[in-house]
Parts: sequence; C-alpha cells; structure tokens
Amino acid sequence: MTYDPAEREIDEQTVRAAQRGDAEAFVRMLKYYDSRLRALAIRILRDPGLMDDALQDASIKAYQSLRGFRGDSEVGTWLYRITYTTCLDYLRRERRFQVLTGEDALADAACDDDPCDIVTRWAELEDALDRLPVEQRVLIVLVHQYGYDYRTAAAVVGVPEGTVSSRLAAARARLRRLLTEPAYVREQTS
Amino acid sequence: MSTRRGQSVEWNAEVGRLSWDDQLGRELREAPVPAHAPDHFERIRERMRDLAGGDGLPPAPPARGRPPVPAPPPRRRLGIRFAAAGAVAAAVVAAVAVSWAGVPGIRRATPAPATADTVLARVQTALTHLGSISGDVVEYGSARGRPYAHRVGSFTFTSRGDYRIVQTAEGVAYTYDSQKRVARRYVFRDGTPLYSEVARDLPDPGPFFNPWMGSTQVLDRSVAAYARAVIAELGPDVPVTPVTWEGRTAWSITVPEPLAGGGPDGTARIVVDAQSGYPLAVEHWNNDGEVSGTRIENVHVGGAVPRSRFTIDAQVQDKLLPMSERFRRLTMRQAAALGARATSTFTPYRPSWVPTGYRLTGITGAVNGAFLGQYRPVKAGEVGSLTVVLTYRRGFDRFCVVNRWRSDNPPGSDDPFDEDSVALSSSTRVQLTSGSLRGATASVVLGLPDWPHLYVTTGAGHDVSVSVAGDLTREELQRVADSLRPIVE
Repeated sequence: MTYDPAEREIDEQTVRAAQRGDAEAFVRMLKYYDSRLRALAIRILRDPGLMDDALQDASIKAYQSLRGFRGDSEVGTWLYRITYTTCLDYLRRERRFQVLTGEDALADAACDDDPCDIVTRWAELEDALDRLPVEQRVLIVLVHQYGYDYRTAAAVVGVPEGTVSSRLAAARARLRRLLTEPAYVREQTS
Repeated sequence: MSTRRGQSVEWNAEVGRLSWDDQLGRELREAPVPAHAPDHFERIRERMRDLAGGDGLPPAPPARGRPPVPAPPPRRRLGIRFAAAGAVAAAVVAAVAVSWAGVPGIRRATPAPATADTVLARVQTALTHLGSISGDVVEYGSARGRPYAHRVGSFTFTSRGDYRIVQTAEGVAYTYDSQKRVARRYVFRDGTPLYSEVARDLPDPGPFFNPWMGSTQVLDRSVAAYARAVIAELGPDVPVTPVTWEGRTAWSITVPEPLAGGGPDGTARIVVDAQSGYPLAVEHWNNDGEVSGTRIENVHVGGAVPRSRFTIDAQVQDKLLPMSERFRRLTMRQAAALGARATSTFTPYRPSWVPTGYRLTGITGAVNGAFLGQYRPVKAGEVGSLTVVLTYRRGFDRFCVVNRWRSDNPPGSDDPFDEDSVALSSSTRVQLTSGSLRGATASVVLGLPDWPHLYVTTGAGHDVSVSVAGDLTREELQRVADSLRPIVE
C-alpha cells in the first residue's frame, strides 16, 4: 500500500459540507483519514483503548473548530495536528506510555516460512519504535509510513523544518542500530 | 530484522531492491493497526449532536482568550482482555454449572480387578509414555430426568506439547506447534476463516493462557492430571469397579465430592481406560441424582502425529493478528538477572527436587507480562511485574514453577491461576518444611478446571508469588515446593 499525494486529501466539497453542518460529511472526513490517524495515535499511546478515546476527543476538537478552519493547510495536516496534540495530552495525563525494558533476550532459531516471521518482524519494529522518543516516533510515522514531506510534518508537530530533519536523522540512525543488532547487544547497550 | 543466533533475517540495509528507508516505510505500512471499537463513530456522532447549535452547525470557534468548552468525556472501553477472559470463564462455568440429565450407560464388565493404587499406576504410566492422544469431548448429564449430551469439539495432544483443539460450536480452533513455539487461534464463521491470531515464545502453554486455549482444553487436558491427583487422595487399597465404557474396558472410581475439590455433598466418578490408563470421563453426582460430566469419545492413543496437524491451512494471511504476552525464552542466568529489575528483591526460585523422569524443558520470562494473575496497566517507565516460568516435562506430563513479582499485589491475586478459577476449586493450607521457603504457609488447590497447584507468597510485602502447578499429586506439589532454591547467576 502506498500513499499517492493526490489521494491523500479528501475532496473540498465534503469539507465544505461538513463546515455547513452536514454531520455525515464530517464523519466521512474522519473515516477518510481514519487509518492514518489511528496509526499515529497508536504509535504515540501504545494502547488501543486510549487510541480510541484520544481519537474521539480529537474528532470532537476538530468538530468544534471546524467553522474556523480556513484551509491554511491541508485538512489532513490539520487533523493530524489536532490528533498529535490530543495524544500528547493523553500521554501526559495518563502516563501510560510503557517503556520496554531489555528483556528481549531471544535465544533460539527463527521459524522459516511461517507467518510468525511476519509477526516477529512487526514485534521487533514495534519494540524498536517504542525505544524512540515520542517526538521522533511521530516523525517516522509521518514521513516514512505516510510519505509526508518535511514541511507538512513540521506543521503537524509544530517545529521548524530543520528540527524535523535533525530529529529524523537521529531516529533513523537509532532505528537502524536497533533493528540490525542482535537482541542481546541491545540489552547490554540500552 | 530479527536477528537470532547472529543470523540476520530481514533487517539488513539494502535488502533486495529496497533502500533501508523504503523498507522501513513498507514494514510500517504493513504492520497492523488496531481497529476501533465497533461503536466508535456512533459515539462521535452522539457527542457531535450534544454539541451542535440550534442551526445544526458545528459550534462557533471560541472567542480568543475564552477557555474552550471541554469535550464530553468518552465512554471508556472495557478491556478486551477482561472480555476474553470473561468469555472463557463463562464457557467453563457453563460447562460445569448447567444441570445435566441423562447418564451414558455404564455396564459392569470384568476386566482385571483393581484397586485405587493399580489405577493410579496406570494413569501415571499412560501420562509418562503416551506419545499422543486424540478424541472428541462430550459434555453430558441429566436435568429433571432428561438426558443431555453435547459434543463440544475435538482435540489432539502430543507428549512434545503440541496441540490442536477445535471447538465446533464456537467456531474457534487452537493450535500450538511446540517445535516452532507458535500458538495460533483461528476464528471461523460458517466454515470460513475470518482471522488468525499468532503468538510465540509463550511458556509451555498451560490453562492459564486463556487466549491460546479453549475451555474444552482446560477440561480435557487437565482431566488426566486432575483424575490422578484425586485418585492419589484415596487409600491405595480402595477397590475400584470394572466397567465397560463406550465399548472399552475401564475402571470406575467413586470418591466423595469434597475430596474431588467440589461441594460438600455428592460424589465424583472417574472412569479410566484399562488399556491406555487415560481417564475417559469425570462426572459429578449431586444428592438429587443428577449428574454433569465430561467424557472423551473416539479415543485414539499413541501413534505419530504429523506436525502439519498443528497448523491449520486457512487462508488468513491478510488477517493475521500478532499477539504478544511479552514472554521470551531465557537462559537460567538471564532468568536470575531479571530479578534485578524489581523495585524490591525478587528472587526467582527453581526446585532442587522433581519427581523421577521430569526434566527442565523451558525457561521463560516476561517484564510486565500478562495473564498470570490480574492485569494491571503499568505507568511510564515502570516495571509492574516480572515473571519467570520454569517448565518441566516427563512424556505427556508437565508442570511449571511460576515465579511472579508484582509491584502491587491486590488481595486475592496471590494465586497466579485465580483469574478464571471456578467455584469447584478449593484450597488447603500446608506449611513448607524445607528449602528456601521453609516455614512459609502455602495453599494447595485441587479442583477442575485448574491444574493441581500450590502457591506461596514471599518477599517484602508478600509481593512475590511462587507456584508449582501441573501433573503432580498433592504430595509431589509440596515436595517440589519444599525443594525451592533461588536461581543464581
């Protein structure tokens, strides 16, 4: 699955309809961006229940400020920004972000040609992402998962583009190290 | 990405034609993202309706400097974990609590006369030497004079630890491949696979890993351990009744219900296959003459079972859900080191005595692992629990020593098996007489659907729970517990 920039944004008619009070148009808007907003929220909050709660709140915040949305940025960027700040609020409030410790001392052989290989890869990716600061993790999602440019990512996170660039460089370097080193080395060095 | 024993499997730079960055993006896009609760958007609609002005439009943006109107709080989702555990518990309770009617016929037969001691030895031998067993599980009984029998599913177990359990009515199948250490749960609707959940590196699965077992597994796999433990409570010379059960030569043993871990009244009857020594049925009779029980039909014992039986060929690759209970295989040294992560002293223990024939087959550990006692979310950076599980096997037999430290230990959570215990379980207190936990008071629990087990708390604030559970008699449980020593690096 790739994200064609032309398909990233919902049509303007739907946005206008939502602003005029068409509740279903607003829900269509939410659904259009839903998978991306979920991916962002889950990577910040690490908890499906909290993800739902935060996205509900973010949706309502978006609804409350819908009339004031003037199209200075893309709708998706605007929703991302609201979701990002809402998730950070949840993170601060709930303090539920789990920092994984280095218990990942895996000792045995991988299983070949088995779906569990996929599972293992995902699990290791999740583990590695968990070890990044949330500011870096979000940028990895925005830029690498969804292909947004630095300018958009900077708008979502609320930092200058230069900061996005340096944070991403640090995040990539750390991820690369985490994902290519044996687990026991990670344990010793983390 | 995963590197095991130095073999780089996936996450090397420039794999195939993809750059490392592209590969990262691809993996991120392919990794699953949790779905919303089913009513997610409906709840948003509700909250929007609450907020909409008289014109039906979204509320006007708040004036600058005015505090924004707080959004109504969302309804909290109930934890999936509790729902799943509840469903399993409900299934188990339903299986044992419904009044059953109708008793499958038992005809007196004339296999060799036997005593409780003979039968115990046959069960023991069966569990030690059987390579595999398969059959269908039938729940049956009588209620108000009407017989009832319900086939709940089928199972195959091997002495390596593999299993395949199909719960026909629920449309769920469970498999565990002990060589790959991969547990799967398949969900079907009208015969079509909907999705599959996969986890690896669990401790040698036992009944405390509910998501990876069915309630029938709890009943049929532990029936043998339970039967043996109950028979061991009897005097060795108690005579047993030779019977023909479902066409097989068998022995029937009746014990008082309290002895079987049940209520104060009634009796429990255990039927053991005279040929294989495997228990064929366990049934409970109340004073009104009503019975409820579980029996195994179409029993096949022994014989090789291909490993392919422990993976179901269902095309669910697109709906494959990775699950993690955070367990990892450890060395003994790593298990000892895990204790250092506790905020107070956590010393995992290992037995210095095990019954003849048992050998250590797995060491597993988890930080903030789930499903061993009540789940409690942990706070930022906190280590809320540590678990070290040692698994021992002897053919079909197995037992676990579970060491668990929790930063908080709410009342009733000392027993790692307590989460889904049913009323049939009862415990007695014993004092440990030797080993590192000498003088501590332990509880011994003997009752379906739990495995026979013993647990004891220790450590500052009794925040460490140590349990011994599995195919052991009461005497063996205590003897293992009496031999516990700290694992040292």
